[in-house]
Amino acid sequence: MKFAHLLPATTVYAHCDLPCGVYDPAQARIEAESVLAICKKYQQYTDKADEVFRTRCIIIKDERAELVKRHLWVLWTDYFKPEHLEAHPGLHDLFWRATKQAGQAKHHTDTATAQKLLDLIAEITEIFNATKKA
Amino acid sequence: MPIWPLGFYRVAGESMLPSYRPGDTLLGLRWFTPRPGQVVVAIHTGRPLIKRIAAIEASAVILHGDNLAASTDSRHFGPVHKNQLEAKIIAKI
Repeated sequence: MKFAHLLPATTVYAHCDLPCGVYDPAQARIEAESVLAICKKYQQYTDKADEVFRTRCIIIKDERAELVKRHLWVLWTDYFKPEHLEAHPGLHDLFWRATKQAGQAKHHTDTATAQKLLDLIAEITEIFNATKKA
Repeated sequence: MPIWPLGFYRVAGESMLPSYRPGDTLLGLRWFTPRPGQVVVAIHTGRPLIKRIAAIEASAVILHGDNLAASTDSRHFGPVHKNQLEAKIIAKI
């Protein structure tokens, strides 16, 4: 053991709040794809005999949409930095619209709402990829 | 100003790589004037952090980790008041 390790010392933190450093909009996209697929199934199974199935569709769709919000927030607040905002001035507005749209995807069961959420995530992905190349 | 001018510090975490590694023991000088480029111990939300001074404002400093990709610093929590600085690092032991 080195002598230095025996010295009484105050621990000083050189941490990152999220040490893994792994960020990817794919997490949000996959959950949003689930939302879209569930909406399609919900529209497809309109028979009264499928009522339990349709109820489960809504419950699971809401859970997935909530996960979309969560993944977008992590990207927005932890991955993107001020220099990214300088290069992409519409970034805050885009995230605001995308997380709002995730909320809309909970309120509605139509595929157009779910598709719009996917489109907004695709815009975020494009910016994310640009920051990785920079 | 603290009575004893020197202190020992031990690094936890990787935001100061490659300059300082987790487990490194460092010697700090508590009597100092902050200057850009110095590695300092700063008390932020009650926790001692080790970061490098990237810039100095009137009464505050901007702190960055050397390993920017793995550092939570002034880019996230903003400038830190000069009176939150505890020591500057002067040696690795």
